[in-house]
Amino acid sequence: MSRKLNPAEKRYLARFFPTMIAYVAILAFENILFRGVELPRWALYILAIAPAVPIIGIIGIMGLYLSDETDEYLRMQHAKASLLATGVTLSIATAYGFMEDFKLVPHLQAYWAFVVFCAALGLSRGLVKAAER
Amino acid sequence: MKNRLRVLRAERGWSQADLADRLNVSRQSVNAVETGKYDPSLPLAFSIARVFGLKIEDIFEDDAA
Repeated sequence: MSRKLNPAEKRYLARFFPTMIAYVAILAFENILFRGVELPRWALYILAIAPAVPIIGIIGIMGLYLSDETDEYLRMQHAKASLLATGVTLSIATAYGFMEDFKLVPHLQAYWAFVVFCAALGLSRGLVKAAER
Repeated sequence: MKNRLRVLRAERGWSQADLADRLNVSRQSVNAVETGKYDPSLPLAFSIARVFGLKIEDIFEDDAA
């Protein structure tokens, strides 16, 4: 980003990076301590949900940015890009799901949808900016 | 929506960044409004009018009129 960050963007980054660090730390912690360890079912639920919590937090942080942003033009650009990325993600997830049914592609865990969304969001931001140039 | 932002800025010797600072928005926002790619909300249009000491209709042209 060539321009100076505004307060809403600074707050977004200040929330985003610690949450991503927490996500990586939880994943590393679980892999180091619990890989191959026999655990009761209730504990597995906790371990399975734990890495999802910071990712859900990131989604909330993205939403918070939209409500924090006081520059209405930037807010509109981000909202457009988010909608486009959501559409792309849902389209890919739907098509992939049917391809899985036809045994054309290997099974993918549903959490990959967030990775696809992030990639689509990056592309969408570029597209929205280019379209308004 | 057509507008006189470029002319009004030039009269005052302000760059887009100067106007953006006065409006507390990004330079991209000023550029998008100025080039007619983005129609500002009523609060932003009032802010623009206030900065130039004019009425909204002295700055923005009603395409439908």
